Formats: sequence, C-alpha cells, structure tokens
Amino acid sequence: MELELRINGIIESIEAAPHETLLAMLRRKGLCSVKQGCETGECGACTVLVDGVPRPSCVMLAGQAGGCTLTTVEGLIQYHQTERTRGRFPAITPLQPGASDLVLGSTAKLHPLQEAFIEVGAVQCGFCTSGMLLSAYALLQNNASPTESEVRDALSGNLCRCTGYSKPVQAVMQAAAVMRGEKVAPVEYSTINGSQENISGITAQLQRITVHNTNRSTTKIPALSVDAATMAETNQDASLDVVGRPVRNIDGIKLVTGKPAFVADFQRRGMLYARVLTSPHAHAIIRDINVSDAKALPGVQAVLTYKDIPRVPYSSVEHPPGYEGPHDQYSLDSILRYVGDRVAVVAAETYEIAEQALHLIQVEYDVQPALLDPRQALDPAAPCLHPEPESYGIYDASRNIAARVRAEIGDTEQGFASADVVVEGEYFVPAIQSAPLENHTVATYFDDNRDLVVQTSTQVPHHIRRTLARILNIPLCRIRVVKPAVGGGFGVKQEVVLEDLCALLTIATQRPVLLAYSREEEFYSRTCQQCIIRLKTGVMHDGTIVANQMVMLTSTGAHGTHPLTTQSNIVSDALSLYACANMRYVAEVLYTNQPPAAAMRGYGAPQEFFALECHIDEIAQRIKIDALELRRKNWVQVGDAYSPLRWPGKEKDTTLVIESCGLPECLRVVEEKLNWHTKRGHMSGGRFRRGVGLALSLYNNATSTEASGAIIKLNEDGSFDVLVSTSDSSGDARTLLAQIAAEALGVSITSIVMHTSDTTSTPAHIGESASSSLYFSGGAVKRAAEQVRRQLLAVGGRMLNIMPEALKIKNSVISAPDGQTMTVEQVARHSLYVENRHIMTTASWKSQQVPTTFAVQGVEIEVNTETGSIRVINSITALDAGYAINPMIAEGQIQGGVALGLGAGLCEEIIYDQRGKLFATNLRDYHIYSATDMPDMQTHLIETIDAASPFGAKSVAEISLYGVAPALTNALADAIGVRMHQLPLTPERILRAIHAQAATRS
Amino acid sequence: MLLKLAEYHWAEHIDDALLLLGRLDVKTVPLAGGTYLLGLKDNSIQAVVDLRDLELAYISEDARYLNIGAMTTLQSMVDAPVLKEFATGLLSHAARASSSSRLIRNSATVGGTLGAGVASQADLLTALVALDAEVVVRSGSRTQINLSGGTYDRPGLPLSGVVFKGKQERRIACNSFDLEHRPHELIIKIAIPRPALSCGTSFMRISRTPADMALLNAAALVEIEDGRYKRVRLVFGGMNMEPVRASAIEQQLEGRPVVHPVKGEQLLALLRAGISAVRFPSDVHASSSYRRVSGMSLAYHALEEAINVSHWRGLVSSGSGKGL
Repeated sequence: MELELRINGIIESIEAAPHETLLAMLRRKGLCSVKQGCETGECGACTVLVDGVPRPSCVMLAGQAGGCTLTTVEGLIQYHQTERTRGRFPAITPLQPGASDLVLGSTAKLHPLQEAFIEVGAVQCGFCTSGMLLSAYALLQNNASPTESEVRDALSGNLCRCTGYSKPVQAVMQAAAVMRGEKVAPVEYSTINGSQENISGITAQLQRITVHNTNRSTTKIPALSVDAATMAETNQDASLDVVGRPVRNIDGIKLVTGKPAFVADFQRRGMLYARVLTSPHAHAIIRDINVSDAKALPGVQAVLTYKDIPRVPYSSVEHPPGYEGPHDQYSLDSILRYVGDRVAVVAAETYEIAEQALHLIQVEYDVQPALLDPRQALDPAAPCLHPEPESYGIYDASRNIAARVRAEIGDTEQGFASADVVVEGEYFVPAIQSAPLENHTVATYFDDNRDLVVQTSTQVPHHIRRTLARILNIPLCRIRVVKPAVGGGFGVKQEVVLEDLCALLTIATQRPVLLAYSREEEFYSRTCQQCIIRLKTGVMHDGTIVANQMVMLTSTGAHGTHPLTTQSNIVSDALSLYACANMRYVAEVLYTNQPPAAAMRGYGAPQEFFALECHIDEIAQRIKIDALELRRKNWVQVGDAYSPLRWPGKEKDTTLVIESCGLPECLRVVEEKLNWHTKRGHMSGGRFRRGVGLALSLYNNATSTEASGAIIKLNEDGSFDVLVSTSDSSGDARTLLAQIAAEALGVSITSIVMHTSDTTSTPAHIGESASSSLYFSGGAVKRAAEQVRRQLLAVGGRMLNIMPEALKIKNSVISAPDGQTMTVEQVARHSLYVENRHIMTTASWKSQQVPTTFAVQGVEIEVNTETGSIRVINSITALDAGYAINPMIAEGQIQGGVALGLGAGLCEEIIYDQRGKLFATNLRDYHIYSATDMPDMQTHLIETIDAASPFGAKSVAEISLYGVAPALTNALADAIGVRMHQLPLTPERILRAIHAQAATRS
Repeated sequence: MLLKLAEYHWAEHIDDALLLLGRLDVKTVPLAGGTYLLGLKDNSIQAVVDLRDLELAYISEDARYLNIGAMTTLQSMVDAPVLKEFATGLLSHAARASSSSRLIRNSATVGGTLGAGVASQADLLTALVALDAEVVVRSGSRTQINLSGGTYDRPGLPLSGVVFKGKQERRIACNSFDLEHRPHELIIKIAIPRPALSCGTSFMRISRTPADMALLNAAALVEIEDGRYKRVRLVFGGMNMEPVRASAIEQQLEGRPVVHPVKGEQLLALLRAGISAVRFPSDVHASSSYRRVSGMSLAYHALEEAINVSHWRGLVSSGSGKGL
C-alpha cells in the first residue's frame, strides 16, 4: 500500500506492506535514530512524534501513520533551525570546532535539548537518547516551564539502564530554561577530600556543605559543593587540565543526532536476515529434525542444524589463564538444555521469510526431566546435563558440578569455637536480567580481503575473535571483530552469544547476515546467576569478628559460564570487607536447565554483599551493639591485605595491600545526610512506618589476570590517533581514555581521536571485563602517551635548541622557559618532513595491583504495614572514587547503578514455571525502574589518593549497585523489625513476614 | 509482528468497518492504538481495520451520561479537564495509572483497553466498573454473497459482493463485557452514568514500585442522599485480574444511615464479613490470600476516603442546592 507521509518536513510517498511496523519502515528509510529495543512499546527507544505526539513506533503499523506528520531526531536540528529563524529560541553556544561539525554539517546547530543532554552527561550508551529527546521535545512544545514531575512523566515511557534518569531530567530542565531565554549556570562538580590527613576536616567540611536542590536532582547535580577555600584544599592536583574535568562525551553529537552508531544501523548490500529456532523444552534431545520444507521456501538461503556444523566444544566466556574452565557449549547441539536453547538457524532474504521458515522446521523432541533448582542438582536422581564425552574441563559432570571453589585461611572451626556468639543466616538472591536497551545484535560478512568481519554488540571483541577462530577453524588473523557503539551491556554482552551462528551462516551463504535477538529471546538467552548464600560468623561480645564463613550454591544454568569466573575471581570480595584471621569460602557452581548465567554489573559481588551486609546488621542486633560500630571495628583499613583468601590453583598468589580507603568518610557522609542517629532505631507505630538502613561495599578486580596495550601516533595536523581496546558497555570509556591521553600528552581533548572498535587495529586485551577499561586500557594509554610526549619534547628540544626536560606542553602548545613557543602541529610537521621520522609508540600495561573502591549507601523507606508495600524516600551514595577522571561521567554511572540496585531490591526477579518457561518475557511484566519510579537521589564523591591506577582513578560503575538492596533490607528491619532474607522485597513477602512475626509474638 | 497480515483498511464509516469485521473468510480485527494488538504476534490475523477516521476520539457530556469515544487515548483521558472533575477525578487518575509509560498512554485507547480486557492490565477497568459504565457496541447483520473480490463495474473492491442488511447497537455493562460481547461487535463508546453531585470516589493501588503494574487496586464510589448511603460501589482489580465487585459489602452499606466520621471498627467488621465473598485470583505476582488480606486495607481506606469526600461534597452541594 502507498502511504503519504510528511517525515521531518518532507512529504513522501512510501510503499509499505500491510504488516510492516512504522519502526521497520522508518529504519528502512534510513532513519537510524529510531531504535528497536522491544516489540511491545515499553522501552521507548523507538519513539516517534506522530502529529507532534510521542508514540512507540514498534507497536504501530506503518498504515497507522498514513497522512501524518512524523518527526524523528534527525529532524530536530532542522526544526530547530526553523524555529530559530522565527526568533523563537535564543542563540545557543556554538559547537566546539573540530570533528563535531563534520557530524552535523557546517551550518547546522544542535537543538537546545541535544546540547543540554551532552552538556550535563545525560548521554551514556545513547541507545535511549533519541526517544528521550523526542519525548522531551513534545513536552517543551506544549509546556515551556515544566516542573520536574512533569518532565519525569514525559520521560516515563523511555527506559534507560545507564543513567538513573537524574541527568536526562536535569538536561530537559536546563534546555527548557535555555529555550525560555534564561541564562543557565554551568553545573558544578565537587568532591570531598578523603585523604588520611584530612579526616579531621571532614566534619568541618560537612558543616560548610550546601546541598543543591534537595528536592530531587534537576537543575543542579546533587553533589556536595564546598566553598572555594575548601575546594583549593581538597583538589588533588589543580594543574590537571583535562583529567578531573566534566568533559563532554566525545561521541555525544553522534548519539544525540541519531547518526548510525549501533550494529543494526549499518546495512550491507545483499544482507540476509537470520532467525533462530529455539527450544520449547527445558531439557530435550532432538530425535529427528527435518528442514527440507524450510529450505524449499523461496527466499531462504540457508538452514543450519547440529548436523551441518562441526561439533566443537567451546566456552562462551573467557576464563582466567591457568584455569581453562568447562568447554561445554556447541554452536548447535542435539541436546537442548534450556527453554530458548538453539535448535536451528535460518538465513533468508527478509526477516519475514526467515520467520516463516522457522515454522516449517519439523522437530521431534525426546523430552527429558528438567533440573530447575540448583539445590536439587547434587541429588543422585537428578538428570545429568552434560553426559557428552566431548565436553571437557567440567569439575564433575556426573553430579552436575560445573566448578567447585574452596578457600580457607586460619582455622575457621577453631575460630567458631572460640567465639562468644556464632550467628548464621541464609540468603536467597534470584536471577535477574541485565536488560540493556539494545538486544544482542551481530552482523557478519566477508570484506574485500575475504576476511570474516564480525560486527557485534559486545564488550569482549578480542575474546570473541579468539573463540570464533577455534569454533570456525579459521586463522585468528582472518577474523576482524568490529565493536561499534554498544547500547548497554552490563555484563550480558561479555561472552559469545550469537556471533558463532551468524558467522556460520555467512560462511554457508557467502553473504552478509544480520542476526538479532528480540526482547523475548533476550530474556530466554541469558540471565544473571541465582545464588543461595549461607553465612556463619563467629563474633566476640565486643563486636570483634573472629571467624567468617561463606557457603554459596549458585546456578550457572545450562553451561559453565560466568559463575565460574565470578567465584574464582572474587574469592571473596565480600569477606574481605571485614577480613579476620579465620575465613572460609566455599562455592558450588551447579548446572541447571536454566539459561546460561551471564555476568552482570558487579560480577557476583552484589549477591555476596546483600548477604553480608544484612548479616552484619543481624549480628549487631544479636550482640546488641550499634551496627555502625560493629562495622567500624572490623572493616578493612589502609595497609591491610586485600582478599587474603585465595583459590588454590591460581597462578599468582601475591599479597595485595589496601593503599587508600575512603570508607570512614563515606560512612560519615551517609550518616550525616541520612540523619542516621535521629532516625535509626525509632520504630514508630501506625500504618506507615519509616526506617533507615545502609550498607558498605568494596570493589576490586585484583585477582583477575589482565593486560592491555595501546598505540598512539601523532598526525601531521597535531592530532593523535589512540588505538586501544575497551570492554565497557556504555561508551564512557572512550571519553575517559581520551581524557587520560590528552592529559598525559598536554593537549586538548579535541586533539584526540579514539579508535577502539576493531580488533585488527587495537592491541588484544586479556581478561576483558567492564571495569578493566579504566585500569588496564587506561594504564596502557597513559604509558603510551607519556612516551609520545617524551618524543614530542625531544623533537621540540632540537627545534628550539633547548633541553627537552625544560619544555612544557599545555593545550597543544610547547613552551620553553625563555618564552619560545611552538605548537604540537609544528613539531609534527618538523618531525615528519624535516627529520623524516614518525612520532608514535606502543605500550603494554599489566598492573600488579588495582585500587579498591569503597562505597557506603543508605536509604530511607516508608513501609505500609497493611499491604507490605515500600516507598523509597531517598537514596544516598557516598563513594570513594579515588580521583575521578570525569566527575560528570562518574556521577552518571553511579546513578545508573543505584537505579539498577533499586530494581534488584524491589521488583526484578526471573521466575520460571515448572517446565522452565519464564513468566516475564517483556519489559512490562519484568519491570525495570523508570523515571517516575526514582526516589530522591544524592551522590557524593569522596576523593582519595591511590597510585595504583591512572591519575588515581577508581572504577565506580559497578560498586554503585552493591549496597542498595542490603540497605533497603536493613531499612525495612529498622522500620518494622522484620528481617528479610530474600530478594526482591515484594509487598507480599513483606506482609507475610509481618504476619509471621505477629504470630510468633502472640 | 503480524506476519500474515495482508490487508489494511482505513474505514471512514462505522458501517464499513462492521462489514469488514464481519467477513468470515478473512480474519479481520479492529485496529485502535495498536499497543496490544501488535504485541500479540498473532499469525492468524489477515486483515485490520484502522478505526482512526471514525471520529470516535471524543469526550462529551449529556444530561445523563458522560460519553467517551472508543478511540479516545488514555492520555487524553488523563488530560481532559472534564474528567478531572467527573466523579472527583476517578477516571483521570485510573487512566494515568493504567500505564506508567506516557508513550503507551498516548497510543492506547479506551476501546482497545476494553477489547483487550484483563490482558491490558489497566487500572481503568476497575474504575469503569465502579462507575457502572456501559459499553456501547455496534454490529451489523448481513448476508455474504460473494467474497471473490471485485466486480467488472467495481474492480478491486473486495466488499462489492457483500449485501448489508442492517445494524444494531446495544449496551453492555462494563463488568460483564468480557462475557457478553460477541464476535464482530465494535466498541463505539463508553457511557458512564452521571453520579450524584454528592458522589465521593477513591482509587488506591498496591505495586512493587510506583510505576509498576498494580498487584491489586480498589476503586470505591459512595453516594450519600438524605443521610443514607444511596449507592456504594467497591471494586477490586489489578494485574491478571478481572474487576470484581464486592457486592456483599456494597449491599451492607447501601441504605444504611451515614455515620460521620466513619467508625473504623464498624467498617472493618463489615469488610471482614463481606470480603470473604470476593474471589481473588492467584498468579505468579501475588497470591489470592495476599490479595484478600491487603484488599481489606485497600477497601477500608478507599471506602473511608470516598465516604469522607461524599460527606463533605454532600454538605456543599445540598447547601448550594437549597439556595437555588
């Protein structure tokens, strides 16, 4: 059918099929800003303005828009120009000169909303940004002075897993002010000095502190601001020009203008579309599979089953060197081990044909008994999930034990015997979903050199390359893995998921293939691990912990994936927080007929800290000691050994020492801001009862073996190409690494061109994980930049006839003590054309130690004792961020982590039925926090000095999740005296606990 | 995705829509906002009829009813000034709570919500039942002669062989809509009887987070006349739950003299006696026993608030009424 549409001001006649969605049609027309995140209209990534009203285009047929005026983000700039011409908006700050202009075009200007989103750091991965911009645009068209609540309501349909919504709300408020012609002050960022010398001054600082906008964060970041004198006192190094500054996301303009950035945005000629037939059974054997009808369907180019490919055992995740781990996965297998397991894969000319072909594949299943509870995995009568002889590296396949971790120091039993009190507790943490807005998406093709190119939404490009080389039996050098922008990952994209199938189809068809999961398939493909944790602690009456034991039963799902690396890497992060002489850590990693367990923000530590921090409060209550005093008495301090527990068999066994620790300051800030001493322990009566709770946590990736490398070369225009691998999932690492390079080189951020996407041009990264980008890639970039800086100064010294040591570089200008100056560009040209040498270098980085990040998180809640529902009143996070390379990005990452923590604490939970099927397969049933859910949120960065990382920075993205759920649980106990041991804290669980407690008392 | 969808029709008249929907050989469904339909992935649907041009997006009032056209979006209901006043804002409040996503509310219609029924998970259903809303549906009675598609005179018109013989319109009570509506009937509008001036309402819900779907919700409506409860409605609803009236409680209250302020113990006793007659479903999100126990709390507070509002409005309205 033919539709007449006005798209971004241009009237077009477009031919559309009756079943084509508006989303599909717009993307077919090349409007990449409209993203597919779900198929039910819940995520808002596909937002389009239809006659000025924001609507989700994935649940609209193209026909519904016939005759309508459509606006996408691509049209915002154009609309803004028109409005500016009419004099509606005041002039805005011109763009920075440089590459940014190339993205926009020489004359175009960003809309104030786009400008504000970049300015305040509301753009992280960027996948949700277009939708948010359009929702905000529609709001501001009708309401020039919206309240914060109106902004939140306008953004309520646009889900975001990165930002925690504070910064987008702040951006909209700022843009509204700009559009009203008001002058907007730049956002101030400040940190509290937490160095040991300054501890006594903290209280005084806190007294001088003013909190910006306590009624939710909008116009100002809710960070602490201290007066100028204090700022000067607290700044680690005022001479830093780029590091420590709120530098804008270097990809911001690309992302706010909706330019092609993500895998699905890049179309290739002759592209085929692939679909996967998935198992309807939790455990089954394929007795017969007939694909002849599917193959005969016109348009189908390939149908692959386990019969068509070599049976190569592999592990989808990267295990630590020295421990190979289970190789128990096959690209396609005759044994199906979870609902959603891969049965066959089809490539066809269109998505619809591929979908039809799936229905033509006839499969005869021999359904086997399913194992859905890890507590039953060790039962001798339990079905064996990996009987196949080809798999290797499994600890005990016959008993479904994928791996077993045992670690102990001292004599734990003796410790318990000597303790005055022994407290035990069992805690249950369910599986949850990372639910990044962008689903797993991969495109594969052969390039002009006949190399296999794998363009994929992944966090681990080098691991994908290594694994594909094994599976496909192709030399590693003939595979290029290209990682474009990633629309969120949070760990779920830290393994091979679809890349092997897509590559097999490209090899079979010799054509480009695109394979993407739907949201439902995403739910079925991976979940975060489910844990049952038992803690046993021996403690003296004065609060001294003398023995501590953690026993963990965890499900790795159908394959031995991240729970293995998780347990082995963190043995045990949580116990290290209150280290004592006698500690034992036991983990059983068990197979079940659940989806393979993916990594998730925190890498297993959030589960452990939930158990530990609830347990500490229980101990305090049991021995009648103040919960904070108990923590202060036992917590880890500067100079202590970190993680004395070690997994036997690990290659390296070095003792790591805590070199900086901001815990005391973090705790003091949270105490103060939460009014802890006023509110804690005052249980009120009545229907609504309030309580406060907090939790401590630490983050260290110390025991993983990682190494990274970087290449930097100087271009003749004075810019620098930085080639380095990153494994983050939100794109922030590119900006942070650019800041590190710019600072070390002495140039502005606009002189840095980051290349992070291609495995052929970036050095391999060993042990890729989310936070490693900062420590390891950052270390490599800093070292390389320092070497290039020395080369620059050497050439400059020769040009000026002065010793290089006497020269300084600042803002791309080299200056000598005698006043002579020259630009980096002049040095580059001289080096290249006069001395005929390149200024460039490579650097490798392996740190023996990475800093430990600390955090304290507190919440105040209100509980309805008649229904069990919880209202979170505020959430306060104080985080020892070291020296924050970019406080704006750090805050955004922390706020995103807090939002995820609130969800994990209150609503997120994967539930299976008796046949292993999920109850929630969309983002309506599986609720994640939206803008209207968020409570007041405060973020405080505590500055400490740690020499173990580039510029003393500490990773903040993951730890911000750890303490939220235990703080909620502790606050609940404070409010109503009921202790919960299971997440999430649903109204029904709480009400049942209240009634059970009442029955016990009566 | 509706993979087998082969026809897309824009109907400009309700009769045209009814003709299309009445075809027996082509599975045809009405298309309102699309938020429910497109999420279905129903491969049996062959044709849709877009109702957008039927001018069914309106909110109007007459002497007896407030009428809401079937194509009125939930967000229009939230924003409409008349609904902010009508029944003390019950519909506006419930429409907003029906989806936490403004994008969904911008698309989803009241007709589509009723058509989807429980699957819509919309709080609005509870409020409509509490207000004794009626669903006006229209159907066509017709004889199909030839559906081969087009004649020599009217090429390409698949409806040319259909003889249209008549139509009928009827009203179905909102709380029995799921049971009573027939295939091929099209929802035209929702008619809500005007409550008395002294009407008081309340809407409460329980959810895991503020924007999450309601595990349980309760809508209460109270009308007081001459110092007695003239009309009382107490309705429970929520996720995966058809709205259910607590008739025993309503009947206990109706006709009784109003005691203000409300005596908590009396109301609680009445609720305890009456709530056992309400059957709450169990699902993965909430058990029936949880819904029953927490339902007591919701019912108590919703009724208390509705009674208070009604009481005070009664004082104001009777005062001004007598003066006139």
